Amino acid sequence: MENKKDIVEEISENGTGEKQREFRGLYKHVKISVKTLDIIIVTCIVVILLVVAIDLRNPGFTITFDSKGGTDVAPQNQMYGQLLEVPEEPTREGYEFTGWYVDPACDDEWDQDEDIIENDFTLYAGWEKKDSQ
Amino acid sequence: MGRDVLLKMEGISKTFPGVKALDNVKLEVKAGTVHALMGENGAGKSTLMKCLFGMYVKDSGHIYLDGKEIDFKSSKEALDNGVAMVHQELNQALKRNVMDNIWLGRYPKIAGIMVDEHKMRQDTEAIFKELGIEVDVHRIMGDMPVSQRQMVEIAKAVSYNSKVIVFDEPTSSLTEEEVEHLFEIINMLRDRGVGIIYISHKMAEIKRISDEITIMRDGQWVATEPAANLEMNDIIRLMVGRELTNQFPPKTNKPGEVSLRVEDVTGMYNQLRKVTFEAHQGEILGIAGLDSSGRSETLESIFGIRTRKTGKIFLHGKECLNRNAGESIKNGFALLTEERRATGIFGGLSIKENTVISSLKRHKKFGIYLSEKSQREDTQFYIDAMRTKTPSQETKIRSLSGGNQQKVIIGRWLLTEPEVLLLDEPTRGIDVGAKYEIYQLIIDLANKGKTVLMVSSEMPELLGVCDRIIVMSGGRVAGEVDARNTSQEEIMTLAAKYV
Amino acid sequence: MANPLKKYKQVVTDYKQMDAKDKKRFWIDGILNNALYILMAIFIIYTASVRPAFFTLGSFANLITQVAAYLPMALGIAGCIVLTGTDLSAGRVSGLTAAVAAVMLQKSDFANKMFQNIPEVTLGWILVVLLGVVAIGAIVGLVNGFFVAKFSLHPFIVTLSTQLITYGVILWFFGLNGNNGQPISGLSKEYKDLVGGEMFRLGNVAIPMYVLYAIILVAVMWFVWNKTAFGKNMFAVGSNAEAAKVSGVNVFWTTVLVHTLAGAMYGYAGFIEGVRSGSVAAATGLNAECDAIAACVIGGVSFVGGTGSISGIILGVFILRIIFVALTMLGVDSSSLYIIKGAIILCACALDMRKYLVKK
Repeated sequence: MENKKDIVEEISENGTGEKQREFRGLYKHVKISVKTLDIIIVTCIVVILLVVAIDLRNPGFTITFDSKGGTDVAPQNQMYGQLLEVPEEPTREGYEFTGWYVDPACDDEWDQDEDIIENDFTLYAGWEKKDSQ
Repeated sequence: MGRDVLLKMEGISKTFPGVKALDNVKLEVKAGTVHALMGENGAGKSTLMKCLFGMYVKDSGHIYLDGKEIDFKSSKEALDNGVAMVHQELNQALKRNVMDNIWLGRYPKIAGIMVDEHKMRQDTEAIFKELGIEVDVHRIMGDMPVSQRQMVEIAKAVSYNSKVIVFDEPTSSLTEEEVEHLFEIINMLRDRGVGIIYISHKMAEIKRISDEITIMRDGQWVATEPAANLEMNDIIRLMVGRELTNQFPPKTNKPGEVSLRVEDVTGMYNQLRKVTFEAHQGEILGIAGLDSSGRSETLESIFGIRTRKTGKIFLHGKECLNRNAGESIKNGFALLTEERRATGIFGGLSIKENTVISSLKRHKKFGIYLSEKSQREDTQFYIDAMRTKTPSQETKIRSLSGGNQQKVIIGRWLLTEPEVLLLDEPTRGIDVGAKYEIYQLIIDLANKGKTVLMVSSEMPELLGVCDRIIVMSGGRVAGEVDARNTSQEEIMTLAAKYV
Repeated sequence: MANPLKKYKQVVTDYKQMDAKDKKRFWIDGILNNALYILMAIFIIYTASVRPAFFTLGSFANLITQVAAYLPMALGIAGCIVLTGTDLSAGRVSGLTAAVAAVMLQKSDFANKMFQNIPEVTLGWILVVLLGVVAIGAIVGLVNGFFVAKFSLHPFIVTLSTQLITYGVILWFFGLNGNNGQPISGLSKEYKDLVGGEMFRLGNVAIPMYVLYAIILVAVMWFVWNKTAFGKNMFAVGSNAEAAKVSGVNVFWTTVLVHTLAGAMYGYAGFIEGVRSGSVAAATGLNAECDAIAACVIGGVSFVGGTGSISGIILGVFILRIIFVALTMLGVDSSSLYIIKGAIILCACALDMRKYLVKK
């Protein structure tokens, strides 16, 4: 480290300006000042905070119900980590309601005592054909 | 002649890290004269012009135009104030037509929004007529030959009512006939009282066209004389005349048998034609020539990063195909490229990574794992051997000075254990002290029996370090001289042989 | 100066020597350069104060699980970014491999099974399927790499094309055997257990097996990046492709291999994703590459090329996940999350450039 003068940044050997470094890679043709970047950064942060703030005035997740041919069930709005309020069972001519399922193929049933709400989602009604006596 | 001084630059200095590019340079251009600016490559001509046009910020000095001090921030500002430049590489919108290129950024308008095509065409045609240029104003720029594009560039300068026009190597891509036309135009401009700065290497042209000549060397002003007072030999002497004592280490290498033979190398996409030469073991063979004479292309063709159309390369009598860099390295070749920043260093990577990249095979354990220890040892060895100044192996190469970067890259190549070293401008952008060390290194390598090919545009360097010098001109080998009993004039004459 | 304490002391002494203007500059620089960390801190503090559940072991376990799920794709895409490129096909490729894995590993007694004559799901068969989907990902990566390297096309264009092509294949795949675009569910228990089975519990939340796999993957990738010739070559090409060519690095193969490896990673990511989401739909994996790219850029894998580290990528994924876990807990709508993601990517790029410009 004794020869500090010799260890200098080689910035503008054939560059254009004084302090300006040249970008490489994906930013190869970018010409931008630090000030502009600062403005962009601040704007982005403000936008993020604004979106969150607006959203938090009406927080929660929407759970919609696809009754798959049965009577309509109103969507619910719930907070994160809560249990689903058991909706009234839909009815359908000639079928028996078997429960609410996560997937449309009615394979994975929603457990109303265990499963908690983590996102917007849709539940699908499961139906079984009634024995037509 | 007693004419008014139009442009005056005085005391201009500019320092880049490690290099003093301009040192107290002065230049005076009188109205209605052609002022030639001469000097070797790297003498600082372009840097001086870049300071004038605001592409570089000068460290000190003053520039006066018509007696008023000016300090342009950009070439656009210079243009608006009547200082124009006809570039070596033409900066034009190739997809647009001639008119658009001339009036770009200042279209005549109708009602402030609509472009007045009619006026634009009339004005353009008026200028063309004045200059005797016959170009269709509606032609697309990219479809025209370079000479015509240059004419358009001149017309553009005239359209700004420029008082000073700089021509940077304007004839490098013109035919003789086109050169005549260019000179006519230059003479016409001179008669109209325009001050012209003419940058060129070509002595004959300079003698013909210029009224005054300023010569620069190593970033310093050397002389300003009326052209009539200078003979061609005087110009050369002033351009290259520097003291040679103690600039170079003693030459101790002894050339041995022929090791490398290059036969009939012709380039696929470049100007090389039937390049043939031999190089001996333990010899330093210089390759001289003007810019674009094919010096670098020769090395790059041998190394296989440029495609050869024909040609064979023999090392110790065995043919080497050298189709790509990897193969050439295996065959014992190494290439130090001219553009260190563009094709040499990995700026963001450390010294260690820069050193070992070409010789990773040496460090492989179990076929896949790279031993950290052996990488460190190799790197340290070459840091010590070359006395590279660096805080540590992990330092990013970007933060070293040019000379130290060059040492790291030479170390990279020595690790591949090459037989033939191809060095392209090994001392470019390096300060004087470090240059000496690089020369010493090159001579040491030759002492160890390596064959060294060295391209340089600095003639004293070639004379001081090499055993023999091949002179290239226009893609061909123009001749071969013994470095011990030749002169710069002899080389210069050969270099101009096929221009 | 590797000692962080020493470094800190150095900063403090430097700071004391500054004048008022420099001090102001120091703070502004500090705040802007760390904008995303500060943003993260704001979200953590706010969320913790509003939702006490955020600061629980269970919530932490949830975070780890998510990081483990998002990490493979980020590890893959990081290689492309090191080469100054990117990969837009990542999400769709993982969607495709998720679908393939799900179909091959459906319950044998599942009524809506797409292909009836698929072998019994055993450990061996699962491994075969895993290798298969990794190979599918690798092939797409190979195509990406080939066109990027051979035609010198910009990776944006190439991977955008393969993204579309892959999506077409996905839609076509979902239409096979009269499936009619229905999501694929009914995954076999063996598959679910091997990937999502419980290793141990942290708080009340199970830590699934794939956390372990993610750790192994990190170790492997760290080795590849730091200890192999391939890794060194990758950084060399990313740092300066021209110089790499002159130095004897095979730029073509390096580029192809980086993309292929990335593709293999997406293949694995899809394999995990199938179990994570329970059923695979045509939209599975949509825009997943955005998360991965954002994580890489936040973690210091710069678009400048030639820089980045595995630890940086992990940090990036963590930061991004913490922000999103916090926002989800707050109850921010998923459509807003997209806006926030976009803003974060832009912000990260601006930060990336800023660091490059003002570096001393």
